[in-house]
Amino acid sequence: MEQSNMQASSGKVTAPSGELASIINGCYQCGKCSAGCPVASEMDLLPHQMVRLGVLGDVQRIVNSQSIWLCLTCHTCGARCPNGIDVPALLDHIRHQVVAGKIETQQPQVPAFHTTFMQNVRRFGRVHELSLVGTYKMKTKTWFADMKLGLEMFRKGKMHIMPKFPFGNSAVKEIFKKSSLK
Amino acid sequence: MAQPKDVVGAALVVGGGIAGVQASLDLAESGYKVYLVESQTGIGGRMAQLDKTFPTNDCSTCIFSPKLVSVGQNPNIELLSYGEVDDVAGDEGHFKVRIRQKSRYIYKDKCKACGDCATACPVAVPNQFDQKISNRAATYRLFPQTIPQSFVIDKADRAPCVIACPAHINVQGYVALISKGKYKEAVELIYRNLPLPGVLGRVCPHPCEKVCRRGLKDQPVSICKLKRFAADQVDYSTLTLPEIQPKPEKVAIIGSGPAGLSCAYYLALEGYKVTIFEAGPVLGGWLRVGIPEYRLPRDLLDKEIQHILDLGVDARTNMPLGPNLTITDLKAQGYKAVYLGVGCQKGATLNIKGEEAQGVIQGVDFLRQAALGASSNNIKKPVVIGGGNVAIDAARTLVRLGSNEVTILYRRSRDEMPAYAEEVSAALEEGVKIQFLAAPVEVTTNGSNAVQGLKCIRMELGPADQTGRRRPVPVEGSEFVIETDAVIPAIGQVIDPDLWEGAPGLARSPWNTIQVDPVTAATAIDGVFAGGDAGTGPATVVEAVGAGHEAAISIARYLRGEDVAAGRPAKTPEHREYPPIPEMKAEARAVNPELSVSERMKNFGEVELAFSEEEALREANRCLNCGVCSECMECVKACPAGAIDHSIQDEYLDVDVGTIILSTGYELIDPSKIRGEFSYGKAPNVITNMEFERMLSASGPYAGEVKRLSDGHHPKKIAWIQCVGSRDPQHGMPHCSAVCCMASIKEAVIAKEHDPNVEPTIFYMDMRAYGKDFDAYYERAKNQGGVRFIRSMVSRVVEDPKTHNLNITYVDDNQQLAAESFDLVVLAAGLTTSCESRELSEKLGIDLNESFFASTDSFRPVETSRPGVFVAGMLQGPKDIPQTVMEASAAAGASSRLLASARNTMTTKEQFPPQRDVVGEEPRIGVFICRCGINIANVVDVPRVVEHVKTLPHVVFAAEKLFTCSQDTQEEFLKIIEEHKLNRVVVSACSPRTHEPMFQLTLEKAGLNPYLFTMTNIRDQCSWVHGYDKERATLKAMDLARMAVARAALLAPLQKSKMEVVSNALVLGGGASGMVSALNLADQGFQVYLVEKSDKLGGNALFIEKTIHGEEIKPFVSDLITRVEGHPKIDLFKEAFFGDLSGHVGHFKGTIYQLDGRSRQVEFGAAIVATGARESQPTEYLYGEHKAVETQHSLEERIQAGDPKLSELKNAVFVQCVGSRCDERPYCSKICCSGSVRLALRLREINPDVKNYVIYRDLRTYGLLEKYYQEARQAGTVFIKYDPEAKPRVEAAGDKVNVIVRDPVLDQDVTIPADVLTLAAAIDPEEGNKEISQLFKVTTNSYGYFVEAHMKLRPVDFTTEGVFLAGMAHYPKPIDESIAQATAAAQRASILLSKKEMTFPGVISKVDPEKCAVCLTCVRLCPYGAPFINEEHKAEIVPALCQGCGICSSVCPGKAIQLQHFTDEQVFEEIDTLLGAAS
Repeated sequence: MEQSNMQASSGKVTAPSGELASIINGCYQCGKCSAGCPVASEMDLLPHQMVRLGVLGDVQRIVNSQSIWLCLTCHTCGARCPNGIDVPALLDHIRHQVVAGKIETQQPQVPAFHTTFMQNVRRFGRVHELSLVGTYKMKTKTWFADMKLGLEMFRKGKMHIMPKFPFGNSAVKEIFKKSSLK
Repeated sequence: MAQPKDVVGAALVVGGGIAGVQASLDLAESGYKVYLVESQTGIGGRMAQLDKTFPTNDCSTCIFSPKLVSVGQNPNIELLSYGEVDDVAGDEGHFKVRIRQKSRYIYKDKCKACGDCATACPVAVPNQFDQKISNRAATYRLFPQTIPQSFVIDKADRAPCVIACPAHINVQGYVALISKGKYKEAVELIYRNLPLPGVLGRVCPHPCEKVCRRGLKDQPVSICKLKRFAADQVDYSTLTLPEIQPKPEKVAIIGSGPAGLSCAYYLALEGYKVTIFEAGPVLGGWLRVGIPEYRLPRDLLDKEIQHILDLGVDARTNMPLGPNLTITDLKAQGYKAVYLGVGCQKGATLNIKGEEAQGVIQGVDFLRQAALGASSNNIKKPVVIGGGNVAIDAARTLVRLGSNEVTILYRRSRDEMPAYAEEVSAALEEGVKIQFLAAPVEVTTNGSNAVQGLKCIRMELGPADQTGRRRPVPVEGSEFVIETDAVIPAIGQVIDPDLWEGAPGLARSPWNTIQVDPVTAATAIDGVFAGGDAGTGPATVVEAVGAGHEAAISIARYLRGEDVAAGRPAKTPEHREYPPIPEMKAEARAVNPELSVSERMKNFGEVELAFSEEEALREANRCLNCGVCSECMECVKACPAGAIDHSIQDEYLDVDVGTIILSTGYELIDPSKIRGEFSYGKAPNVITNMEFERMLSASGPYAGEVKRLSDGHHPKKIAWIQCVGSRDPQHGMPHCSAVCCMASIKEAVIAKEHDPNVEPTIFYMDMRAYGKDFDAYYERAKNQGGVRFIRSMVSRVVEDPKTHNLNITYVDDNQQLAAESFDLVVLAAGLTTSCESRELSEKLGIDLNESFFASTDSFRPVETSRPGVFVAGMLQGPKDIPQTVMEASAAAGASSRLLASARNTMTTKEQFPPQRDVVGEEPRIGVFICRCGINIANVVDVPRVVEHVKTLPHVVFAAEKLFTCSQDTQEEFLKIIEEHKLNRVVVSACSPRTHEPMFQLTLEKAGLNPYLFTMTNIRDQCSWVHGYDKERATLKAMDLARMAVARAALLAPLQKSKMEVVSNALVLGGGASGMVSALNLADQGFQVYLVEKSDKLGGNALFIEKTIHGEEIKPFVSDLITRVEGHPKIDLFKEAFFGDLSGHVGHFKGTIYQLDGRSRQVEFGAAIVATGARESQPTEYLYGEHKAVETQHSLEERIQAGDPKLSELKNAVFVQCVGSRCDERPYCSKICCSGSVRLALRLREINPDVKNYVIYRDLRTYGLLEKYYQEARQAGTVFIKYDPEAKPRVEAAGDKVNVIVRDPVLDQDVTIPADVLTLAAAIDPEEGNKEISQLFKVTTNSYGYFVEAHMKLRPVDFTTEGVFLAGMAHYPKPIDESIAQATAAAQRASILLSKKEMTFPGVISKVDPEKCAVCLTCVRLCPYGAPFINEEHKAEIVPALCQGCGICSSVCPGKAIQLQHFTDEQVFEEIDTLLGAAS
């Protein structure tokens, strides 16, 4: 890895700046976050490595990892980190940019699911499984993956043909309106 | 600096740990009076808790306790232990301090420290000294070697149970005694306030249990039933009665209920002639005719009443007070006082129609008849009216007498029932029916006026009345009738109206009871007192007993003509303080067995059965001992010296002092409060460093055995987790605790020594082995000691609930997750200042920094923000023992400088009795064999050694001692020497090197020449080295003791020589350290010769711009130089060196040569070596080959010179450990990590856009320096760790260099194009050190740093007396530590210089001129230059130079030289004795 003025040059996704950068820079690489992470065993990059990449400015590797999407945002890392580094805060910063389409990711189905999910909620006030699955399949063109699971869910009555509009749907719409999410 | 005028020649030292002890000794030995205040019962502090100290692995207590003894023996140290600073007024030079001396409850001078009180004490509370892994008694001392040795009784406020008891029984006391199986003592204690323990153990409503603090944890202690248990165990005839002084006055007690009996008992104890007049045919009042037998067995009641009568109390039955026996009659019969304990005998009426019908019988009357056996009951279907105990008693009695269907009618609900809940339950179990919310309206009768039924009405609950209970309101039209053959009202009791006739003039209360004074129990009639139910209305037995006791006190006072009300009632503190409830498992209270329902019907057998003994003991041990001391007074009985007095009050002491030194030490954080994820406090096998130290300690609770708290098994896999609450800004503990890394390594090494099966693992972040010889110890542990080091932090510790093993997940070296199970986990808990220290700081008005340590600056490292108040040790910041000792001496030095004009104005000199002439006396040898706690005794059979010694010639006394070195043993020595007319003393204990001077002092105090003493080391040489062979260790101890005795017989008194002291000092080195030392001594009034080899003063300080804290160094150094150059007491020699040393401590001579050819002869009493160190020249990383590569030193120069290129830097790289921690220099240079951090931050100040990279191995920003590491990281400095096996590579790239290093976290190479590469070059000692070491006969280590006298406790002394060490010549260190050491060196020197004359030991060689052949062998071989050829052409030895090493005497071919105290005759005798026995 070449270390020269890396903080500004990493594709379209920017490394955290300001207070968030100062907090992440506080890392002394003790590895406590990774040791306590409940999904660490599934991760290709461990939380402390992601923080290290954040410190070294190599955000692209985080963007390309699966770990960024595996994080459960349980904040165990941050609660136990002696330096108070909240790994999800770093990942949120990057995930937001990825979802906002700033950059191509090697795991495109994840942001695709994310946007589909949010749109679905925005439209119906809650998730309508059938239209969610449909839109997701359209976007990712993974027509036949998870077919079996889908049928199983259908049989168990988890897939409703018609959406249900919950009470307070307008309030949900109001939240979306106030958020910057497009 | 101007010194205050008319200063007081005394100092106050607060805190008696190693810092306070060292500061006190330094000050007292240099002529100042010292008041040493310690909040614990004795001095010792944290160091005494430690097992071993690294790197020498010395026993901490063993090296420390001689210093403690010295404090105890120093006549100028007033030790105020168990004290605290209450108030400080005044200023620097003259403070007025008020000290609160907490009551010890044991007279210090009477206590012989035998410990009998602690053995007798039934209380067990967590022992703070053992970090609560053991318990101690309420009577205790901190640890066996503490000073003073006397015990202290630990009292909190009186326990809640005691305060709640209406009779004020010492509840905690008797429960504690029961817990120790001391039932008789428990019952005796109860009898002090309650003469009916068995009765109350059954019928008491036990208000004590309602307030029991154990209830806050789980359930209250079953106090009442414990009392019953104790009473049942004891034969009352064996109880010890207090001595009774008979008095002539007669007292009449009316009524033999609990109040009357109690009053009678206590008056009888006072010696009065007491007569009880009982209205009924039997004694006991309500106890006998009210409470049914199934609750209170009659034989028990008889036993307790008889015990009262046995005191000589006269009792007359069938004698009611009334028309036939009045108060006037009693007075006429000579009764001087009367107590009315008549009770409320009559039942209250229902006031309903039909109440006079046949079959309506008052509950009280019914119970009385039943109790007296008068009633042949034919009642089949009775209704009892009322909800109190009488109603329940009546109902249950009816059940037992054969009634088929018993109904209780109560107008409220069960919640409002005044009867005891358990009684109500028992009644329901026995088939009693309770009609709640129903009230009687009318008793219906048949033709013969016999009861036929009871007409009732339903009630409902309305609003609460004034008693707080909801008032029942009748429900209209809800009448109903219960068929019944007997109606038994039990709705309340009143006094028998006959009383008023018998006592005319008695005032009545509005409730128709006797009007009595609530405190004194006095009535309206003079000499007549009253109480119990008759005074208060119906109440409980225990209240009646309490009232009777109080009345007895009143009557006794009345009869003696004293003020009856004085001092009553006893006050209880409003805000009571108790120790916190300890962490422990919840445990249900014991439940007493009961007769089954079928067993208890139809008979009056006691329903509630007693606890088994096992159960009682377990239950009693649940007591938390809220008041700590239970005031059971067992200690008073046990103390052979009569030293205990529980009424001693706290005292206040006002002292005048010139300066104050604070050394209150530190506290460990509670890991459960800060880092709960480590399961501390939940999992028993997770412990702290300090707990592990106590485990390892031979004098600790496990006697040095490493055991798991959960099951006592020996752990195999032990994990240490570093930085638990250190380097933890998220939890408000941002600092590094500075000592834990080394402590953990040491513990790992020692644990493995204790048990070779142990597999230690240390989890860490940066191994901070930054001190002298630390790294070598670390490497040894890693490479040879079998200690595994894992650089990774543990996220949490999870206990396996079955095995109690601990599971840990961590990221390994390959950045993979690894999981492992450990048997024991030791947490390196962070260190901080205690709340008490912070409060004291506030009281004194001294500033604390953001980590709550006393704030100081780098140039005044021991001065607080308040002038005249100094600080030493952990209170100033986390640090190790040597640094603490340096600071203590430095604080003493700073104090001496202020108070020098008042030196020796407040001190006294120790006077010894004249020495007894023993020449010509037959040897009378006394031998003491030390057990050293268990250090010796667990291997060597000490009693056997004693028996052996007793058989030896000349031995007239031999005994074993637990700790021969303790102060009380020294006192004992004096007596034994006197008593047995000893003229020789032998001690078999530990090392003479540490302990002999102390024993010799004791001999001097006894009027014996100190050389009539000899010592042999049976600890190091027997129990320690032959721990696995007890038999042979014992035999060897016997041999050694026998040899010592043989030698002792030949010992001769020797005289110590005296010599005048030259009060000048020589300081070598004109850097910051040398100048600080010189100025301190000069300010104290001593002439100083300061020798600097260069042409300017300032040394390394000249090259540094700012300290890491941001303080400008230049103004400080310039000020030092100005003061040195202008000081009238300093002779400055620049471009000079020192040579031609001769003489000895107190009087050295030598020559200072200057470059210009001048020279000067000087004489001085002490010398300080402060020759410094310097940055080395790197030989790697393109240093010297590429101009972008430089050292910290040259970067600093560029910064100071304002090099404009620095503002254009893009990337700055720092590489650490360049030449340090390698084969060439295996030591850490200590200052470079913080140096690079400082320079990185500084470069960023110059150019905010610069990107800094620090490539390091372990970042050693120890202690409070950690915050700058954090600051640097947050500011964007990237820290990359490298492995010495894979050092960073540096490649030239034009005017830049590329630094390539492997990032271990990502496991990939990082290439950094560096505009500047700064190397943290190792620090080398000055080259001239070798010559100085030869000149002064002091040693340097293999790298050329000077070696101090003792790693831990003498860090500024040399083994050569009179020569001291300061600054970087000792080891690389930052400027604040150098200044502290320099001030310390000055203080150590001033101890010598302030003496007019000094004495030299008598163990020196002497030449017999007759035999001397002047061969010069001795002259050539003496390492100290002591022998010379005198004018008679014979060899002669200068006593002051002779160190008593014996080389000359062993090499003298003519046997002309004899080493005194080790003469050939003595040594041969020893050898003969050894061999003689062997053959």
